[in-house]
Amino acid sequence: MKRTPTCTALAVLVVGTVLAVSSPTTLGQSCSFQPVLQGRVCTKPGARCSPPTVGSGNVGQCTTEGLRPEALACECQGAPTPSYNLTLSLLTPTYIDKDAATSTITVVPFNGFTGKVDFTCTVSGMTHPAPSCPNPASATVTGGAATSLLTVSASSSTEEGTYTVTVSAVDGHGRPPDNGAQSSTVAVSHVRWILMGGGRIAFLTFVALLALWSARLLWRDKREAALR
Amino acid sequence: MSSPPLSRPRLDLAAIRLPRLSRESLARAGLVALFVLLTYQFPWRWLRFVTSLAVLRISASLGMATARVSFDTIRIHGQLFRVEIACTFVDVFMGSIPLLWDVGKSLLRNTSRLLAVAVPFFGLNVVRLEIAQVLYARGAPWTLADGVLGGFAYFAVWLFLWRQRTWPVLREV
Repeated sequence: MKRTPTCTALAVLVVGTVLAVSSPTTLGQSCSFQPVLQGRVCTKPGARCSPPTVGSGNVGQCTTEGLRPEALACECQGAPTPSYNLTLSLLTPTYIDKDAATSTITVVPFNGFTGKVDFTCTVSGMTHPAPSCPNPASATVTGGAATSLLTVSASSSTEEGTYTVTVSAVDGHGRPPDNGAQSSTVAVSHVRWILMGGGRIAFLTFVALLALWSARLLWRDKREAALR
Repeated sequence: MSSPPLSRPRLDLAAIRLPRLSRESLARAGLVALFVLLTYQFPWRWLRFVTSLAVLRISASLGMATARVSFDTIRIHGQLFRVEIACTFVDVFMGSIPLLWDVGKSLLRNTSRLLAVAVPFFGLNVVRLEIAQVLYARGAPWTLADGVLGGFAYFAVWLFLWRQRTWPVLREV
């Protein structure tokens, strides 16, 4: 039977469609982005599972797909590794002079993480000397979230400017938090503050005016009564 | 013979008795304290921002060098000013509610009245803050510019409230 050009074209079209529909990774040795249990994926054999906030997880493993030995998929298998995230509240006050700003560091455990977390604080900025930032006290996670206090102090010799305060952490195994080091900013200014709002002087002035006004009212009433 | 002196009414200060406040006055005064106390339980961040924004804009329009530092802090002529809760007049407004409330009127009418009062209160506050800024920029001490002016602003509000009151101040004999 003679094959017509139309049949050849049809065959090419069918093969092309199959290739286009099938996963591109089945043609090579790289792994597919296949979502697996708990929504974690890995991008290549040996890579860590992601997203990290779900858990460090196990290292992705390549497995064959179906009956084709050349087709590989990357899967995150096994129980996720206990890990933790770090959160840092805003440093308050945002402006300091010769005082200190504080922030709360919170260790948020997941996948059953427990243990001690050590912190390191670094301050970076365009000007020097920068505010000081002692390493915050370690936090111990026993069940829920654990907290520690971050303090950034400035003195009269601290240069004015805006500084970035970064907190890094490691657990007992030397592992960093899944979401990495966290930062906040603080500004140093030695300009004298003025609080608006009147305060005590405004209150005293008001009371004095009120007393004068009341006395005047009283005097007027009594005078009218006496004249009657 | 000399004519007798013109008789003038004499005030017997010892006979003056202080009038007693009505129960309603006392109740309203207590509510004023409660409302003001309640006011300071909230940060009022948005109002502090809006107040500082108004002062910032007006100062800039008057040719002053201005910059925003944070939501409640502005820099005018190199000086940092932080807007506190008292600076927003919200304590004055909240304290005015028990004094302005007319028990004979509906909730809607009272609310409308309070909203109508809030706007001029905010305007008065911004004006006094801006006058304080101008006076301070011209060398007046801040205590005088902000404090004394603030006292006069509070007194102006008091006079307004006094005229608007719908309840008897003194106990009827």
